[in-house]
Amino acid sequence: MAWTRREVLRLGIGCALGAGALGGMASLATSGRRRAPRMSQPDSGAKWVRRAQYYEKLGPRRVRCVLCPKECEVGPGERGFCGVRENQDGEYYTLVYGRSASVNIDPVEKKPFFHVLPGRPIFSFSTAGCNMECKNCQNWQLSQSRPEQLPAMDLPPARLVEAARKQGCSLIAGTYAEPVVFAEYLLDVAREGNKRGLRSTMVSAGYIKREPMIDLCRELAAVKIDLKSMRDDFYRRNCRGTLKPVLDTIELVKKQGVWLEIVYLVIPTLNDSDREIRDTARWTREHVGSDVPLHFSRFHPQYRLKRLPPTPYETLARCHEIARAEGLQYVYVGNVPEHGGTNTYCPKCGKLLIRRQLYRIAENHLRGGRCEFCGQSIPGLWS
Amino acid sequence: MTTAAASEAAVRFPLRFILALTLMGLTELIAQVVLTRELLATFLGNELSIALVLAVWLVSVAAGSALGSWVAPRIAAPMRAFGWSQMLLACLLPLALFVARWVQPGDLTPGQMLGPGAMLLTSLCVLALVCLVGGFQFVVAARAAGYRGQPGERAGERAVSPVGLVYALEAAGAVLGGIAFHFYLAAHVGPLRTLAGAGVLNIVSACALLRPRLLNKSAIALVPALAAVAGLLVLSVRAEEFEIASLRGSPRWASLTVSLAQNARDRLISLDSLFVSPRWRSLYAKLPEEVRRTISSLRATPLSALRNPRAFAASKYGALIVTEQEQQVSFYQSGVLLFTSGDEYSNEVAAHTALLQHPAPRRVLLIGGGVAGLAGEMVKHPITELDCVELDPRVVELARRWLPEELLQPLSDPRVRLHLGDGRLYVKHAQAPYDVIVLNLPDPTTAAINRFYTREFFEEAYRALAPRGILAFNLTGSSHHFSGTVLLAASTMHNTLGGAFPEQLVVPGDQMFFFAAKEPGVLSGDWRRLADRLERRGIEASFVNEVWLQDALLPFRREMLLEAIRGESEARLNSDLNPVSYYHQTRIWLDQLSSGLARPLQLLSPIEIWWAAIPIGLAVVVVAVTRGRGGRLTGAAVLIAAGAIGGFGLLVELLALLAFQSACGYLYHALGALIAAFMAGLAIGSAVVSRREIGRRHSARIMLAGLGAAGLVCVVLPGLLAAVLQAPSLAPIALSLALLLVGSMVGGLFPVATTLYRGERSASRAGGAVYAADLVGSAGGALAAGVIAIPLLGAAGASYAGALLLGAAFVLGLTLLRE
Repeated sequence: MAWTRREVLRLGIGCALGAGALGGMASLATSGRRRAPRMSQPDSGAKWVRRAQYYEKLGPRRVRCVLCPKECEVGPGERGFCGVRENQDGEYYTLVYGRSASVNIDPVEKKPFFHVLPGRPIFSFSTAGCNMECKNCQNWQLSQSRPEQLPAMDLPPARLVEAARKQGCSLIAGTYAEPVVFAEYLLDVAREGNKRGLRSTMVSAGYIKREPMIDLCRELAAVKIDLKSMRDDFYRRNCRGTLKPVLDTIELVKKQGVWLEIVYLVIPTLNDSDREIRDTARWTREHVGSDVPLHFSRFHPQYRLKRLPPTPYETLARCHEIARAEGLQYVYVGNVPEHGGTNTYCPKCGKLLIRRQLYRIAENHLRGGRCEFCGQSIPGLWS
Repeated sequence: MTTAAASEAAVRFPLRFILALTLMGLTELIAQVVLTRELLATFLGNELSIALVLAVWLVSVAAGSALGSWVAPRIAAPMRAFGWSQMLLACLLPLALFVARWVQPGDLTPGQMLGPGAMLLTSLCVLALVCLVGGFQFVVAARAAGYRGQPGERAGERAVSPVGLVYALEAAGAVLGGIAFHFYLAAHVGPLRTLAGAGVLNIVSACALLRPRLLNKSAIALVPALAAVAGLLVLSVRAEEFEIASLRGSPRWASLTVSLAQNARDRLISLDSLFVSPRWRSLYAKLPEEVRRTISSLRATPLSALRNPRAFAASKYGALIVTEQEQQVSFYQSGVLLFTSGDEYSNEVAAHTALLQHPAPRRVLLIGGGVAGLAGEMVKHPITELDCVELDPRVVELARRWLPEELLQPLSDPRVRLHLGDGRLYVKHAQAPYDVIVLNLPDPTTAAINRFYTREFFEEAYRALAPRGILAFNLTGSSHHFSGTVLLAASTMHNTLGGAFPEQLVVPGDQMFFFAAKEPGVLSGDWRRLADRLERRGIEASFVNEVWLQDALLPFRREMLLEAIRGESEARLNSDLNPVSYYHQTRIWLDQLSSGLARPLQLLSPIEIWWAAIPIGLAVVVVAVTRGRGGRLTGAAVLIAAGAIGGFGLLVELLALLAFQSACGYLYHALGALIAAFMAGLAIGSAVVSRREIGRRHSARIMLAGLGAAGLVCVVLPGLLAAVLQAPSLAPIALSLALLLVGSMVGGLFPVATTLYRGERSASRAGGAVYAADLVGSAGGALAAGVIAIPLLGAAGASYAGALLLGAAFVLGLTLLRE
C-alpha cells in the first residue's frame, strides 16, 4: 500500500475524532429532547412563570390540574398535556403568563362575533399550547408547540391593554390557540381592560372546568365557543377531548349572563349529517335559547386533514335551513356567495338588519340594539 | 440495444426462458410504477414519501432475493419454481392494487394525512408480497439459468456468470416496461387493466415454463392458470367499474378484516406520537383507558375519504379522481386536492390581489388554476390577453366534462388562450412581455414543483415581464403567527425572490402572497390605492372589497412578518441545483404530524460535505486493524462495493433528472427516455461483461477501477451539469449519454461483484446476495440523496459527498487485492 503506517494512523485518529464529535452532537441533541419536558431557558422564561390558580396537591410532590377536564396528574419536573403548565417541586405553575406568541388586529367579524360591535377591530392575542389536538387545527404552529419553541412577546396584562388602546381597539380577544390554557393571563388582561374601558372576549373550544370558567365569566364581555360536533365519538377521535364538558361550558356561559355565540365548523363527511346538525340546533334551542347566534363555518383542508375537500356551499345552506327550521333566530353561514347567510334579520318583522360582505358592514339598521323598523330588541353587545 | 445480449443469450438459453426473464423485468418495473403511484395518491406525495416508497420497494425486493439466495440451493427444479413464481406474481398484482386502495387513509379519520410511520407500514402492506416474490424470482431464475447452462457445474470452476445475463435480460425487460408505461400505458390504460394485463402475460409465460401437457403431472398447473386468466380478464374488461368501486371503499365482506388490520396498524402508528413528544407523561398511567378505547374502536369504519367518486382517469402525471359532494365537484391528482368547483374565495383572492397591484395590466400569464375558475376572475379586469398554462391535458378534459357551465364560460372568452404544457418551459420561451405573471401552484413539496420557486425561474420570469411587470405567487402561511419551519420556508422564498427582483411585497394570511416587481415603486401596500383601482375597474366580487383589502394589507401585520423574515438566520437561497425549499416543506409536513423524524431532519440541517469523509476514515481503520486477515471482511467489502455502486447509479440518475428538468422543463416522455437510457446501460453493461471470463484477481482490479471511476464521475459531474444548464439544447443528448455510460458501469460491475462474492458459494446464491446489496445501496442512495444531500448540499455537494462515500468503499475494496 502506498500509505505509510503513520499517515494511516493520523487519518484514523482524525476520523475517530470526527465520529466522536458527531456522536457528541447527536447525544447533545437527544439529551436536549429528553430535557425538554423540564423547564428550559430558566433565566429567559422565568419572568413569565406564575403560580397556577387551579390545581390540587396529591401528596408531597404530585399535583392534579383542575383547570380543564383532562385533569392531568403531573409529577415533579413534568408538564400537563397542554405543555404550558409545569410541576416545579410540588407546586404547579403556568409558564405563559404575559408571554404572548402571537398578536394581531382582526375585524370582529373574523372571530366570528356577529352581535358584538359590528365592524370594530379587535386586538387578538394567544400564547402557545392547547388542551386538545384537533386534526384540522388552523393554528397548529401555536397550539401544538411549547412556549420555548416559539418567539416570545413580553406583554404582561397592563402592557397588552395599552398596546390594544394604542392600536385603536376597544375590544380584546384571547383566541387562536386556546385561551383556556392561559386562563390566569386572560383573567388579568380582562381585569386590567375593564379598569380602562376595554372589553375582553374569549374564543375557545370550551374544554374547561366549571370553577375557572365562572371566574372568567365575571370579567369577560363575550365568549365564542367552538362546538365541534354533537358526538362524543368525534371529540375523542378528532380532538382528543370529550363532548360533555363543552356542552356544560356553553350552558354555564349563558347562565352567567355573558354574551355567547356558538360556532360549528362543518367538515364534509365527518360531522355534516342532517341528524347531527338537527341535534346541534335542537340542543342549542333547548339549553341556551333560540336567540343565541349559531354560526356554521366552512372547513378548508389543512393541517392533518388535507385530503378532504372544502365544505360544499350546499351543505352549509342545508345546515342553515335545518337550524332555522328548528326555530333558531340567528343562524349564520360563512362565505357562501349570494346566500345571505351572513346577514342578520329581525326575528319579528323579518327585515334585513345588518348586511355583511365578509368583514364589511354594508348596511346596519340597528338603533340602540333595536330593529329600526319594528323596535324589536336584538340581543348582543351593540354599544 | 438489447439484441446483443439477447442473441448471445440465445445460444445458451431457450427462447421461452429468455422471454420469461424479459417479462420478469417488465412486470417488476410496471408493478413498481403503478403501485408507487397508488401509494403516493394515499400519501400526498412529497419528496420524502417518494423516496420512502422507493426504499421500501428496493429493500423488500432485496429481502426477497436474500431469502431466495438462502432457499435456492435447496430447490431441485428451479425452472418449474420460476414458473410457479410467475403464476403467483400474476395473482398478487391486482390484489396489491386493491390493498393499496383499501388500506387507504385508514387511520382514525378519513381524509387524514399519514405520517412516516404509517407510510412505511402501508407501503409494506401493499408492496411486501409482490416484492418478496419478485426478489425471490430473480434468484430462482439465476439458478435456473445456471442449471440449464452448465449442469453439474462446480462453484468457482468457471467465472462466466449466468447471473449477469439474467440481470441483463431483466434490465432489458425493464427498459421495455418503462417505455411501454411512459409512452402508452400511463395515459391510455388504467392501473388495474395494466396490472391485470401484466398478470395474463405472466401466466402465459408460466405455462410455457411449466409445459403442462395432458396427463402430465404439471397439468395441474393448468387449473389455477385458467382460473387466474379468467379472473384477470374479467378484471381488465370491466376495469372502470372496478376502479371506481374500489375507490369507494372495500366491499362489506372485506371491511371487517381490513378494519382489524387497520386498527392493529393504527395502534402501531400511535407509537409514532408516543416516542416523539412525551409531553404528557401521565399518559402512561392512563394506558388501561387506551386499551379500552382500542377495543371500542374495533369495528368497520368507512374506509375511503374520497366519498362519491364520479370519475377515474389515468394520466401521465398521476391518477385523477373526480368526486362530487352536494353539487361540489373536486379534482384530485395523486391524492392531492387540485381544485374544487365552489371556491370563489380563493379564486377571487388570488386573481384580484395580483392584478390590483399593477396600475394597468394588459397581458397576463397564469400558470395553473386557469380551468379552476381563476381565469373567470381575471377577465373582470380590463386585460387584453390572458394566457393560461396547464400541464395535464387530461385535467382540462375532465374539467370540461364535470365542472359547472358558469366556471367554464370564461375559457371561451376571446381574450383567454389555453396552452397545454410545462409552465416553466413556457416562461423560458415567452416572446412578448407580460404585465403580470401569476403562479397558482401547490407549495414546493417536490423537486418537480420546486422548479417554479427557484432563483433561475424567477430570473426567467423577470425576462418575460414588461418593464413595470409583476410576478405573483402564494404559499401556505398564517395571518398572525410567524415562526418555525413555515417562517423558514417563507424567508427562503423572500431571499430567493429578492435575488432576482429589486422590489417585493409580502402579504401575510392563510395563503401568504408574494409580489415582486421589475421596477421599484410599482407595488403598493396601501389599501386605499388598491380599493380605488377595484372601484375604477368596476369589479364586482363577493369577497374582495375595500374592507377585505384593508384587513389583508394591515401594516401592523405586514411589518411583523417582515421583521420575522429578516430575523430568520437559517434562510437560504433556493435554486435549481440547490433545491432547499422542498426540504423545508418536508420539515413542515413532519412538524404537522409531530413526527419523531422532524427533529433528526432539523439536526441534519448544518450538514457539510466533509461529513461524508468519516466513512473513509472508518474504512482505513478497519483495513489497518484487520491487516493480513481476509475471509469474512472481503465478502463484506464486495457487498459494500456493490451497494455503493447501486447508490452511485441512483444519485447520478436523480441529479441528471434534476438538471434536465431545469434545462428543458418537465417533459414527461423525455424523463421516461432518460430512465430507459440508464436501464439500457445496465442491460448492455452486464451483458457485455458476463460474456467474458474473468478471473478473481482480475475481477478485484476491475471492481477497484470501477469504484475509482465512479468516484471520478462524481467529481466531474457537477461541471457537466453546469455546462448542460448553460447549453440546454445539448441537455437531452449529453444527459442520455451520461446515463447510458453510468448505467453500463453499474450493470457491468454487477457480474464482477458476483464473481468476487462467489468464492465457495453457488452462483445463484452469490447473485442473490449481490443483487440484494445493489438494491439496498440504491434505496439508501435514493433516501440520502433525494431527501437530505441534494436539497441541503446542492447538486454539486451531493455529488462530491457521493465521491467521498465511494472512496470509503474503495478503501475497503483494497482488501480484495490481498488474496
